Amino acid sequence: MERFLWLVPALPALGFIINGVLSLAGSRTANGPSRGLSGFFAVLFPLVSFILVVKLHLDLQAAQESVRSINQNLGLNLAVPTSITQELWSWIATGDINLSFGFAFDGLTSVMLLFITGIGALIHLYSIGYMAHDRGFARFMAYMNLFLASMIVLVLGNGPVVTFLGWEGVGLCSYLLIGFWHHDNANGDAARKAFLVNRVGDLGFLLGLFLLWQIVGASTPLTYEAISAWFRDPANATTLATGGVAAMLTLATLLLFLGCTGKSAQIPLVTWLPDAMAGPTPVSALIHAATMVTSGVFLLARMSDVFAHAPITMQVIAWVGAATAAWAAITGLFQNDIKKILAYSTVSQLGFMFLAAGVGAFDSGLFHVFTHAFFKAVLFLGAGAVIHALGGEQDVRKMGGLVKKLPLTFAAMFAGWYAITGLPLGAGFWSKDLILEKVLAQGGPVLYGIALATAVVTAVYMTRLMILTFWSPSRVDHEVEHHIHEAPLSMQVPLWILGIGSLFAGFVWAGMMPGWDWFPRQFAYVVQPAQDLLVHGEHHGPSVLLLAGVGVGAAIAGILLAFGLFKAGRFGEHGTGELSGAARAWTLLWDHVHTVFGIVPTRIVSWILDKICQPLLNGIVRLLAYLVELVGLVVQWLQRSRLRVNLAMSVFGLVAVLIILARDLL
Amino acid sequence: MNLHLVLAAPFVAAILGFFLSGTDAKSAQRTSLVLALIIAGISFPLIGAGMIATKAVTWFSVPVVGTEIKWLLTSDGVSAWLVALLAALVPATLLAAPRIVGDRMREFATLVFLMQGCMTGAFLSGDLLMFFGFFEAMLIPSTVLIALFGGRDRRRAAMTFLLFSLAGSAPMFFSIWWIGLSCQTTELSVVATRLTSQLDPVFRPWLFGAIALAFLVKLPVVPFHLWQADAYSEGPAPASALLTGVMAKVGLFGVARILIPLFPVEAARFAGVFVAIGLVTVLVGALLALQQSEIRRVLAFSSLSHLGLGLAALFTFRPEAISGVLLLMVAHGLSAAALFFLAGIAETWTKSSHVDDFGALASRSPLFAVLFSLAALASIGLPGTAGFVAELLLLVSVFKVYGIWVAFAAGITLILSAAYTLRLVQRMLFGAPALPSTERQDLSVSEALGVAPILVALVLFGFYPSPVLKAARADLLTRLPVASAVATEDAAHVAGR
Repeated sequence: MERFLWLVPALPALGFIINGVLSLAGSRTANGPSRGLSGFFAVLFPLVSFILVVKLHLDLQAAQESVRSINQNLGLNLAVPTSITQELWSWIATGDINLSFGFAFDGLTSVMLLFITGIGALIHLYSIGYMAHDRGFARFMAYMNLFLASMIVLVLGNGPVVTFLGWEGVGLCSYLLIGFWHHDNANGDAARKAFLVNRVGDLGFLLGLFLLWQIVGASTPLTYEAISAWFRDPANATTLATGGVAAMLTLATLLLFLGCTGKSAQIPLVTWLPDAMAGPTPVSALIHAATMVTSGVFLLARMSDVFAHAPITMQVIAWVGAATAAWAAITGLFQNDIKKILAYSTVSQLGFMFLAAGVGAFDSGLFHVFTHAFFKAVLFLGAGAVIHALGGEQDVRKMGGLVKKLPLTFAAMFAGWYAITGLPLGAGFWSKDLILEKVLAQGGPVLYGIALATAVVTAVYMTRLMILTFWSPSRVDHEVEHHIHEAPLSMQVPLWILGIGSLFAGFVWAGMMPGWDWFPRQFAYVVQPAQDLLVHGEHHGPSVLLLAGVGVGAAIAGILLAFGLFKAGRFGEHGTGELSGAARAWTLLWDHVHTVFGIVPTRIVSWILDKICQPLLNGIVRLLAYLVELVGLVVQWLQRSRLRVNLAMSVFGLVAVLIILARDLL
Repeated sequence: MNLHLVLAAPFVAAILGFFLSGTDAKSAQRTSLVLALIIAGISFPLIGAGMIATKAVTWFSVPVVGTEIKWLLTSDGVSAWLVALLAALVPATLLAAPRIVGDRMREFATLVFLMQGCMTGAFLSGDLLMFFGFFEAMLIPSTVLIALFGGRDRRRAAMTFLLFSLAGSAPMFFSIWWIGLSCQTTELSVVATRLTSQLDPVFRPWLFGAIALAFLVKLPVVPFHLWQADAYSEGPAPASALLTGVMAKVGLFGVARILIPLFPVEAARFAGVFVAIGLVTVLVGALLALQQSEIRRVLAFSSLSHLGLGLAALFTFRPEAISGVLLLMVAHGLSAAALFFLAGIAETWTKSSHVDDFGALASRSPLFAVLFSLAALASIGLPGTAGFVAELLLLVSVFKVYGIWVAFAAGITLILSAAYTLRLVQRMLFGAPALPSTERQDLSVSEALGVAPILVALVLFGFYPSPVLKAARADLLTRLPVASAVATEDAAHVAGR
């Protein structure tokens, strides 16, 4: 099977090429290339990739199982295979650097890829319906395929540099898809912002990698396996304990974490994600909710052995996660654009994941990545179906009463809502509960308090969204109301599957039920050593059931609060105006920070260089040229029949030469 | 592999150029294209040839002092790749030119071949004076190209270009003359061994500086960059593509091939200065690019910024830097040339070079838009293109020698280059069209065929850069370790004190 590992990313990449060629070839025709053909390829390749991933997953398990049974039966101690790897070619080899282009498929990769390709294929299917009337259908499908290929490379890469290829690749696709409707400059601006903010993070990633590489030494290959092994090796503990190296590691991990905040929209690089909602809705579901934005959490888990040795960084991660979760949840309360509410919700949920990782519960964070992929995808796709039905309306104040008009969409979004608020047995219930439990045990009461309060606020803004969209009296324009219709089948099927997933995906790790731990078992050998390093001994806190009760209580409190606030005819703000006052200042807080500390200084310096330094330099050069000309003029003047002057100078020169000669001779 | 043939081919083509049709531009383009492809066919095998040289012949000897000037052609990985880069870009130049040069295709092609010949000579010279001859000679066709085919302000741009270049290289001639007197020869490999013993250490820094100046002006770096934006934006775009794509590389090539190997001690001693100059150039170039509103001025400052990083990295004397710089030269040569070709074509549609006069080319000219955005992405060093591998290697080497903060300063260019390039992309390709016109204009097939292979090569080298990286490893390293050893020695010396 390992010979076919490369096919997993290569197939969607092939889809990109096919659809790209189709798009370009059809650009001259009135209608563009055949949607059937383009859509077929666009869905086929991700689907085949998904099947391949399932097969690889089973193969890896079978291989591990067989070694385990041999060990058991014969009393041996053979190493259990951890991954399926494939080295394709030597990528960058010069000097001390020797990077191979290769892939590694282990337990962590397998759970990530299962939902990336699975949910990815579903969102591609949904896109066929959603984008059916768009002129750029094939181009859209091409970008989506390229995104999936990049995301797979990100996860499947055998080392950080291959990951970086996917890391910037998903950034590029995000740029292309946010700016998909490029005739509107606002979309282009949002796309550029996403790319630039991500590039700030990417620089952090690279510099962090350089430092990390310096720590492990040039003789350690830059693969995750080798890096983890180096950090797990007790022989290196003394090296790590020295002050200089420890400081360097802190800086390295902080820089890597900066990269994660960029990709996963955390403070301070949070600003691009809400703007990214300018892209078509399937994009928001695939890229800005289910997959790309979780890559930061993935990287933390992938490098958990590294981060576990940097306690200061872990503190920073936990606090950044908590702060982002709280800030974004509050921001979500003010929004009136249905996609913006979901965008801030995504930021907030990502904060939860980082909080979990920061307190040393990488597996719980990843579990939330997994469940979030289901419920946030269904929420976005449901929102897309609503927008689709309302002819492009995104303002929740102009919705309402849609429960009767769009019952199927409602059912799917209800499942998403049920999961995200954390009501019992939904997908979010299990993961959020686990995070809260770990935060209290390993992070302390303050972080737990923030997280719990955030859970309440989450329930408030999500319930507000549901009330304003579905349950309140209709405020839809009459003109629009006639045309409301359920989405086509290609959009329905993904909604159902993801809706069911939102309700039941959590059972892969039902913490309270012994044995229901399929999910963490898959990659325990990747993150467990780091987690053991961080957590010493059993923690005796409140019982799991009590904590779960508190969590559900928070959800119910938030829901009731929202009903109290918004149900009784009060739909929040009337009108259609933009945000104003404190709500606006709060929402744009980090944009202002970027402006003041990043954009304005850059503009000032470049203005000074262009308008002052360049002309000044130009002036100096002109002055020099003028001086040269002046010397030329003088020489010219001297040579123009000034016999007496020439003669005088000749005599003077002769005398000078004679004096010098005389001095030498004497 | 006959090096004389490689060098002679462009000159022969230039002579044949006189016999091209002066009236039928199409025929002139076709024939010159065939010639350019033949030259490419002759030049490409150099890459596989490894280190080769012709037999050194005494060209002439200077009377009285008896210094022997040799006629000697040498080639190794670095020069082979640069000659190949040039040979690959010339056909593309000819394909991209028709809209810009109109009827005067014959004159254009002849001048381009002359330029190609001189640059090939500079890359292959095994003798210092020979190198200088070609280095200066290439000014003539390029100045004429700017002055003949350029935009409104072409005369001034051509003069500025010529004067800066001459002022920059005059001291180099003095330096070569001095070296010739002291070493009795100007043959590069011999000079490299004799220079340290034959030259008074008091004068060496001055000779070093004089040669460095010529290359820094040619590259260019801040503060010698004033000619660049004018020349690139006023000259005909296809010629600008060759100026930045290859001629600027003669500067870097000179630093790597002549300056550092001849003056390892001085190079190590003044390394910090050059790294600083390089980094200032990186940042200033990028910041200035942000301010420009004419397409080719953005591209010009972008080139300034990208090549500055190459200079900084060379003076770390790291092996990664040397292969990285060669890859940078190839990657930047390809991507910048593609951008200049495309920019020149687009400018003929709007009759303007101002970014505000464009817009919506993505829907109007889809083929153009695809190629332009790919070239732009390659230029900002997206992983998967050759530029990424090059920038990664350069940043690593800067990091290894000068630490995280200097690497950070250099790395800011990753953000800035994305900022100005994507701004350019958006203003040109997206948004509403600035000029109301329903006419759909797009690249012709031949124009697309000129640019597309360049982009394919960029992606290819992004995933498989080994051929380029190995080429640099094989050769320059044999000389540079001298400089490197001195650098470490110096450092040890300082530490010991």
